[in-house]
Amino acid sequence: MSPETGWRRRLEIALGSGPVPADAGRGAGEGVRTRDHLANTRTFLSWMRLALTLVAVGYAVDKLGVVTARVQDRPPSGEEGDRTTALALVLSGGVLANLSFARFVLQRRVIEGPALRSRALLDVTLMGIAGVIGVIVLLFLLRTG
Amino acid sequence: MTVEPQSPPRPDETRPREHLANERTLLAWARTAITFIALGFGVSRFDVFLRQLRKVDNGGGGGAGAGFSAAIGIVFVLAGLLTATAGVTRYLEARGQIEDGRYEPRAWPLVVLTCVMCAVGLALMAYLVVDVARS
Repeated sequence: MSPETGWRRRLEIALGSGPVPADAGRGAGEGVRTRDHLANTRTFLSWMRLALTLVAVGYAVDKLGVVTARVQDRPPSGEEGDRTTALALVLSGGVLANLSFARFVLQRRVIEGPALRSRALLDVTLMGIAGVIGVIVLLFLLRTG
Repeated sequence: MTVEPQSPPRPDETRPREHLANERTLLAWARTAITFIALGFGVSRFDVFLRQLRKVDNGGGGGAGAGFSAAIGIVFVLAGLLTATAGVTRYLEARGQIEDGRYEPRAWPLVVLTCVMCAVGLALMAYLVVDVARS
């Protein structure tokens, strides 16, 4: 296998570690290409913070259940519900992190290509995960009152 | 009309904006790192409070899970430091590339961050599961 088509080269392309082709970018000049990539990185980091927020909410759902029970003067029952919700939240944080990395890699390939496209479907899918989380938390709140 | 092939080294008028974009990216890294660190601090401090509650409930006994929750806090803070280091390293690297007029979209800092995020998530899940077994 030649280095041009081998798995190593493909991994390089996927991770952006190989040599940059001379015609990379959407033809608007190097400055635009650079800013496109930097904006892509910032978008990834924003998704990452959303994922981290989900993890934090997961922790809060788990641990604040104990405090809520005390404030309401009842034994800390329903802990199983807390736990499942919390684990689901933390897990979705991890899934979201991986998906946003995939989004970053895809978008980067698009930036290096001739035409810039917005990845609406992928972004909406990612937001969908956040929406599902909202529903989970809502159900949890309704159930535990 | 012919498009000029990757105009020779630098149309200089966009360079300031590139550096500013690079700086905004560094700030985004900083916010991400700070989020990790703040969460780690919150987790470990809130756990002290919860253990105190448990102690009162058990009439002075209990206090399980102390070591593990401290470890979780440290994992989060270390994740934050790693994130900050990756961000600064990439910032400096990108700065040189902007000056050279050839930006290379490296993914390694994002790979690092994704792995860190997965590790932290798994650690927290393990903590939540183990913690209920103890209490």
